[in-house]
Amino acid sequence: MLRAETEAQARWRADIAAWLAHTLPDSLRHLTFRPPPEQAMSWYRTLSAHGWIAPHWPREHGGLGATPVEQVILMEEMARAGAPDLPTQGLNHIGPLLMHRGSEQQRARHLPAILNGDVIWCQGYSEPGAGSDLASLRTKGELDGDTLVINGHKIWTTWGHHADWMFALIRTGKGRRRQEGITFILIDLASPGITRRPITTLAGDDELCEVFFDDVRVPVDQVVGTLNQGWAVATALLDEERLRLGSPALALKALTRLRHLAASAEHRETARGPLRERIARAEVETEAVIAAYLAAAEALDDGRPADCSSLKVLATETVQRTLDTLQRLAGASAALRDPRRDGALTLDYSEMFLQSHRLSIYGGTNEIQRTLIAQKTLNLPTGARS
Amino acid sequence: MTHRPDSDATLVADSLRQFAERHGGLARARDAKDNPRFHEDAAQRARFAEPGWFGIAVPEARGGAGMGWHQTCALAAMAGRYLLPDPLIGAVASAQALSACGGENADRTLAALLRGDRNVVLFPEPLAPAESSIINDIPDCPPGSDLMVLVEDQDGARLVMLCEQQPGIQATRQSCVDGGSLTRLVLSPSVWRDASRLAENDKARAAFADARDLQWLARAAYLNGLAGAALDITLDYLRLRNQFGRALGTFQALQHRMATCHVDLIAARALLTEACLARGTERQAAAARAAVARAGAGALRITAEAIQCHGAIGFSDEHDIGLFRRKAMAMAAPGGGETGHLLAYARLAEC
Repeated sequence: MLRAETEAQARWRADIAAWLAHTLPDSLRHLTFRPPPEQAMSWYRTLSAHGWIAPHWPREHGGLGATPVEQVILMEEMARAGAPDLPTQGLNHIGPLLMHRGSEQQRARHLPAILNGDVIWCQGYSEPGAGSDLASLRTKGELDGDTLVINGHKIWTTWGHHADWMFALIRTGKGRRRQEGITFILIDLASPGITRRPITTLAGDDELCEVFFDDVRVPVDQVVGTLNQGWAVATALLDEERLRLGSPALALKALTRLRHLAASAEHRETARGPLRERIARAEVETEAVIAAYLAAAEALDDGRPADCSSLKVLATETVQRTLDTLQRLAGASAALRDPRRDGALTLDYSEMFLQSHRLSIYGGTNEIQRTLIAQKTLNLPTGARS
Repeated sequence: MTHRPDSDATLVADSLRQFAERHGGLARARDAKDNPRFHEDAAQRARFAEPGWFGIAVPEARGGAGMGWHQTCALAAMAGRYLLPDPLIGAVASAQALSACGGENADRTLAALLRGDRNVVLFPEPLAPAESSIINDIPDCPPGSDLMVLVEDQDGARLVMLCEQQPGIQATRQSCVDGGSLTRLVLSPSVWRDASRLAENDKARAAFADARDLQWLARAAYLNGLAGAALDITLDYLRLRNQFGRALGTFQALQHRMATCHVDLIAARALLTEACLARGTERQAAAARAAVARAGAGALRITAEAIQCHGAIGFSDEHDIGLFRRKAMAMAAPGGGETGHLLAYARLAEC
């Protein structure tokens, strides 16, 4: 972050760095993939006990109520220390949605469990036939008394095989528009009739899965909002969700990887020589992501409109460009599968690079975001569907 | 510290917009391009000085408007939207340096600068007095300009004034694509003997560093303003121009290119805002270089896209969009362009 820090902010930074130095286990540092659930949730609960698991949540719901600047400082220090990625669907998606659209009972039941790390959530939106065109989803819910009986198939579900609960969109009715007749529902994944199958990704891990529903019975009190009106629920906090997808956390993580490589004995000469300009560009581009994130987050805090689709594109493609530079720097080592160690440095050549392909695909592909930017922000005419 | 929309910044930008429109809008940029001249138009400079813009970053007690860097950048961004040919950026930075120096000599020069009587050029790099010095590619340095130089040698640092027309200085000039010029100066050792001193050591270094960084930031703002205007003109064109029976702007291939330009621009603008907020920190100099590197690269990308999206008319000299392309080239180059700024950033940030 370039802007001047107040004394309180500088203390906040020093506190985080000191705490991480003696709390974050070495075995969890500088990992590309989320650790296995047991280790991930142990670190999650450590952060939770310290009060730092939900910096962006308001205090009334048990969060830290941190300002955007404080959040960036936390991200910077987490990236520097190499803190692991954690499951975020509870913290960034269903938690905030329930705060705004959930019933009193739903909030009381689910929010504390998200904060404490008692429950892992996953998102059930995409289907084999409904990716970018989400409104074409076909997983069906039929009302049987006060129960919805669900049949269908969700896919690309991040950490779905480790999750306890899923928030999902299902088709419960028909309307004039395809967005009508969709219901937003919370599903206990321990329910009978659910089958999960992990999917190995390009990056070699199994962070995704597909979920099959076969006569799964879910009480209607798990519907968020109104039956058949789920599209409005799912899209209520799109700006906030894209703000999270556009956070600088991963750009900082990628930059940390690049810095480790640049500092290593093996690559220092190239980093100081022919690639110096490109590395400086990666540093500057990451500062630009932080700057754009602060602009968007401060706008939303003030109730002003924020350009979150642009932020998502900027943040995710900056990560990819930074890792392109890292691959350049890697030279002949570029295709090595597993990270190397050089003292305290982790030299990750290919893991995060391959993993970063997901960034411009998830959360609404960057092509979808560009169409939104063109039509909603830049007011270009929609014309015929192309 | 935080940054929120700022009514002072909006006001100064609006007043410059009105000024630019009263004085011919883009026609001034076209005239400068078509009729390049090394001598500047004194009447034009005086008109520009009259509303007090040269003193925007000078404290009120010293005759300025007492505004911050953010407001100064808002002014420069509006100048970029209209491709104003006047050396506003150099003037606001030099005025800030002169006001920081204080003293009779600096005050007299400052007053002349604010009246529009003198052009004062700040060299962005310190010089070590040598047998003779050659300085290449100085922008906005018409004949008769004063030169403000930070001299560093074994005796310490001092900020000195030279006059481009004094004995011992030879100037040659070449035209640029926008009608501006770059000046090459050859300084003989004798010039340092007669140079008038404005400030010494820490005071000199601080005044110099602040003015140099403001100059980079204002240049970044100008480039962002220019890129924003080029994008707006292009979007208007895509909404109006029909081919294949529909507006060009309905084609997804073009929509996505425009979206990419927009993302480029919001990144450059946000970075500039943060760089202004780095004032007074140890990262101030690096932040200014980051902002101008990003703004210049973005303006070059966006103006290239703007030409392409206009098609053949964009390649014709008749259309104004080409003026933005030319100005982006001229404004992005000082300091070594993106490469020069990024390498400076790497040295300053030790990365």
